[in-house]
Amino acid sequence: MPKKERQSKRENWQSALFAFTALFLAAFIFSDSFRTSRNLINLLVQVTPLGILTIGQTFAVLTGGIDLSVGSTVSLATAIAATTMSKIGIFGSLSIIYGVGILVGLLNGFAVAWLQMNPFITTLATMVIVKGLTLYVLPAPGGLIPYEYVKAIMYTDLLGIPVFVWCFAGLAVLTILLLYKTKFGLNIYSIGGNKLAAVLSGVRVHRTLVLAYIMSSLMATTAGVLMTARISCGDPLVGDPYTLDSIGAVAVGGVSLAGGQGGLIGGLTGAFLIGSISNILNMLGITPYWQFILKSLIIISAIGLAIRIETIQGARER
Amino acid sequence: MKESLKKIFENRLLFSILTLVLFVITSGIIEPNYFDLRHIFTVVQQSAPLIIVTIGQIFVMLTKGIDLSVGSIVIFTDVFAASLIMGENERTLYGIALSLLVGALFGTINGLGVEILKLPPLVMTLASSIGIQGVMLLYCGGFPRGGASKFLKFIGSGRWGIVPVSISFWLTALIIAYWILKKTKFGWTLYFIGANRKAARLVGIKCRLSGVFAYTFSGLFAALAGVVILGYVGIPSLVLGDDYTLASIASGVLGGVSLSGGSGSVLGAFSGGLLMRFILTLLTAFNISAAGKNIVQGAIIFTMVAILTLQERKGGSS
Repeated sequence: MPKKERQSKRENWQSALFAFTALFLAAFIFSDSFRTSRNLINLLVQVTPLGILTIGQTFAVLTGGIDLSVGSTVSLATAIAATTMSKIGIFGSLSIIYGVGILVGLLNGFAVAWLQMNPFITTLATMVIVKGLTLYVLPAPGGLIPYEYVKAIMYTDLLGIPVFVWCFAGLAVLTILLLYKTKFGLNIYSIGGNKLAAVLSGVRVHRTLVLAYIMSSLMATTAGVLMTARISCGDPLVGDPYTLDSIGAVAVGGVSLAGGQGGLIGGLTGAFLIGSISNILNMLGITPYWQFILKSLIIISAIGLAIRIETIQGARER
Repeated sequence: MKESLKKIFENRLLFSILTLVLFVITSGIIEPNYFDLRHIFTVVQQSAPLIIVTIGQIFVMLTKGIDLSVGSIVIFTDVFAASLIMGENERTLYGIALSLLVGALFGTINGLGVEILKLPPLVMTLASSIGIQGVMLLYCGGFPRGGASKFLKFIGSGRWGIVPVSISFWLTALIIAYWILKKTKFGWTLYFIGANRKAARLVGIKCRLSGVFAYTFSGLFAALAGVVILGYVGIPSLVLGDDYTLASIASGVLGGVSLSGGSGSVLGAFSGGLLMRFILTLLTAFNISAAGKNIVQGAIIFTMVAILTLQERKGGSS
């Protein structure tokens, strides 16, 4: 099928991979402390929450939308976990958290699909609402997380790597299969590419859109659930920076913000780039102030390059 | 066609002003002190920076863009102007002028990234907001120095009788912006670009140049807001202003400006900005916690956008 081949060609993750490899190698060569296995595992742990969020964000962005509520959803998950986990048990608490997460996604998806509201402002509104809920549940960092839970996720190793990271790896594989190999994935591309054409060719646009936003919220919830184990308490603000980071990661990974182009491999590459910049620049001994400026320049040049490649490829295809 | 389109613009603005008036009246009925002119002017004074930032944001929103860097520009000029003025009256004008210039320069960089490098506005301004934060931290080394002069404090927090002085500032800005958008060729160009860029290019409009200028104005107004905040608070702060990014987008939307570009009036900055602020003060009057404030604010944005979207769809089908 020629269509599928075109799709995989449309993934412009090369520039993000190049930037990541260059930074990684620079740190690997010049910094002794970066090379330690402890730091490399730490790097994976740092990238994990952003990586999981980026998976969800990729689904939302591929439909031509965006999800600004993911960061607050992460915070909400940690807040609920911190207040309920020690009282009603781990599984009871997890089911509440996932229930709320699905509700947030349902609200986003309903507004974007049925009410045809602008995704940016819709998810901005839900972001503010979820932030409010989080502050209501847990006004300040704290709460109690059972040690068994923290131990099971953070201190249980498999091949020397914590379960925390394995969760990310498993989710990545599952969602890549979901996006590239199933009808649902194809529908997402078709909506992002041309919504009208998708409607006319019988794609259930509303249902797919709602599922995409639920997917995004589910990933955010999962990131929050895992974050809870990492910080072993609840924090109503912990998720905030992740919203914009996940959008940056998606864009750096060559996923078009207009929808329909790019994919999870790109998004995940972008997540690795954005998520590890701070660690790498720290290890290279660059002061935090310069890190801001370098981070911004790296994002701009990586995306600029991705867009250049896209235009050149587009011209060649024609 | 043009008539009906015009009607929708006007309706949207009218709708938002109507909501504002209704809101003030209902809150006045609930809490009689609300009708006190002194109180109303206090709210107006507090909303001055938000209104000014929103004016700039609307320039960009009209072109179907978005500017996520305004918050960082506000903080930067807050810190920058303070260090230039150092509390001396003679240096005030020089400090303000230079800050506005730098704000406009940041805006222009955004515009160039969007129009020349073809980066999506969301990502370009996101990256530049990180960069500007870095520049600000490098400039002040983490310790903001200086402060507002007497003259600037008078502008920011002084009153003539009960009328706040800052009113003259944003009223002038609003009138100038209105004149630019309604009466000049540049203003119309922005509407054209937002409504249909391809058509605009085909009739020979210089889309790129006008697009860049839209961001220049956004940066300029954000800088002005930074100066007004400095005048209000008196001393620079590293964090005051971060909220303005998303708040300005929300108040632009509440003011009836569409995020899909090409429709809306800059006067929406006035009604949207005031509405955002009035909601907040009413909730404060009820002693509602930060959590409740967020929830109500989010719910109001959500509902308003849902109503506006339904209106838009009705207008489109007729």
